Amino acid sequence: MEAKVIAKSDIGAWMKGLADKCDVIAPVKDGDVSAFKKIEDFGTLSIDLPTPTVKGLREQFTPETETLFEYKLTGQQAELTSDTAAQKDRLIFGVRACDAAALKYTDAVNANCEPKDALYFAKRKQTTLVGVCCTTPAWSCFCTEIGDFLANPIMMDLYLTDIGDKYYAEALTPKGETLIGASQFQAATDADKQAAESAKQKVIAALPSPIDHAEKGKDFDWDDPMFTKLAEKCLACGACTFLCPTCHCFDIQECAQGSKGSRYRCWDTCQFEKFTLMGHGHNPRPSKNERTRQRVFHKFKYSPERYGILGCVGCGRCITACPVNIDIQRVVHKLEADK
Amino acid sequence: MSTSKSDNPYVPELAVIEKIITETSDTKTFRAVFQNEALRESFTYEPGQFQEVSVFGVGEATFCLTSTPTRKGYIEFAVKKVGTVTSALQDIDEGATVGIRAPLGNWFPYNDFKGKDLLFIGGGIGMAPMRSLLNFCLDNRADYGKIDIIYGARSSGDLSFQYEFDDWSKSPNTNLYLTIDKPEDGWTKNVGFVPAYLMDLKPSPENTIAITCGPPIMIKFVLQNLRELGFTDEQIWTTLEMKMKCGIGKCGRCNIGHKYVCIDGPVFSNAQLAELPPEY
Repeated sequence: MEAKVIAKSDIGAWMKGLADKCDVIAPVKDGDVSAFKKIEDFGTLSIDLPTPTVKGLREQFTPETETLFEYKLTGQQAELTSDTAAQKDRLIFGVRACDAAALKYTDAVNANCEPKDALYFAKRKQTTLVGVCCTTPAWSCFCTEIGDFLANPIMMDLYLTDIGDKYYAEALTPKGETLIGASQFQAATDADKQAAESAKQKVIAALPSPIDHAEKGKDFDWDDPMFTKLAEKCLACGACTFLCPTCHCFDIQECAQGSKGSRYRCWDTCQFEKFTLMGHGHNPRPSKNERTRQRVFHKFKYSPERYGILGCVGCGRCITACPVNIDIQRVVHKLEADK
Repeated sequence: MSTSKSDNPYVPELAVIEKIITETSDTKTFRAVFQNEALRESFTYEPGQFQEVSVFGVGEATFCLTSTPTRKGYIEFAVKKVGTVTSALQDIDEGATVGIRAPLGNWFPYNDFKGKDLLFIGGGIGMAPMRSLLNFCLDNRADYGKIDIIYGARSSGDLSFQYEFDDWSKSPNTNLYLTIDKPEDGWTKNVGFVPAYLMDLKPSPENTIAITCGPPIMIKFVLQNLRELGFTDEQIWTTLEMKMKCGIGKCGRCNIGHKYVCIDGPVFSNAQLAELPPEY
């Protein structure tokens, strides 16, 4: 598909033009971290691209809490009043290749069986994604070990690579081609193309080499003694899973007061004891031993078996966030060595 | 992102509780009828499938469909009081509105069971999911050979579905074997645990399918004893219980390895379970 360039100084004007048609969301400084926010003021645009966002795109498609439907109660009689509200189309700018790749996984999960998750797919359909190639990866990044999506991005419409005072812009979908039809984009030269390629190769060279984790995951040892050690360290805080762009587990809960109520879902984690605890007291994953194994096996063994996709994109957020330095990359390498 | 009720999979159908049967001191069976008349006619399911039941204002919980699809117009679920939603259900009255998301999950492969003898082995509330298949087979009696039912509970007062015992035992070529854990005045049937009673009865594995459900400790010893009697893993079927929320393979909590009990189960043969990690 076609590629063009856009001057960094024109990004604000381009996005302001887009904002007439849809919500524009981009990473901005939010206290000490970088977070995706709806951009309201394009005059003082302060997009934060160098710092990876503290969270991926999960909340953009499955909010931390999401109302499923509402109802009215009269004694023991109930009446459904509404389900979900309409939302505007939106464009998310500054998406990392790993976070976009995570959508291939969450798409598979939400289409796992009929019925598909219509709430998730309605948001996916209404969202245009503009990615940006990482030029300053975090210390914990290992995406290149998982897949080649840094060089060959997937699940996004347009991919920008920093080549000095401008971005090289590759359209990956018809939506992306429409985007680079805007007046701020200019034709790319061969030199621009080469500059983008060398920028990509420079960052890839600094990151780990590919490993066929899906193949190696088949032979993981269920009784690997490492999980006893991980269980001793793990605080079961769930930070690893709440920051993970592929983690998708949720709870369904009730919010009711007087005659009105709603059913909502909220993020949940396999690292919590109550996640699998049944009403009569039986728990198939009763200790952190089983729960730390579940997280690693789900991503590196069960997901390839079920969907043909690894449940990890190597974004490194769980490694950065873990208060006791549990490092999934090292855990997986150890499991692969132990088998 | 407006989604219509028909494609938002978390919106339940409303149903009215038409009848409540008190089974034991902590278990009731609820008969629900869909408010939507067209759905009441068209709704069908398979024996072994389950549902998510909403008590509005309290929450949603998972129950098997204990009724049989051969008896139309209503669905039934049996509820033992163990948690928040099950406790709230004990307090509702006939006429109350509940929400139903159903049918969910897989079912017993009853076509493969045709022409075979069936051995049902149930303990306590574990009889509820098997009752759907049992009544289905009794309603299609000519399709199946001998049907033996071994059903046990802690005491005679803990046996559910007592009002159907006559129908079951009087059906042609069908035997009902009841047992309770401890002797009671006036109890004329067997006394002892279900796995031990199974060994006393010594059913033949020849051309027989065994279906079992009950507390984990009962199932463990029933499986051991069935193997001792010569049953193969392919001849033994069960239905698993797991903590569930979505019921449609999305919320992530009912997995055993790469299988989800809510969509790949709840019904499994022992041969299928043998291929999964021991985490259930």
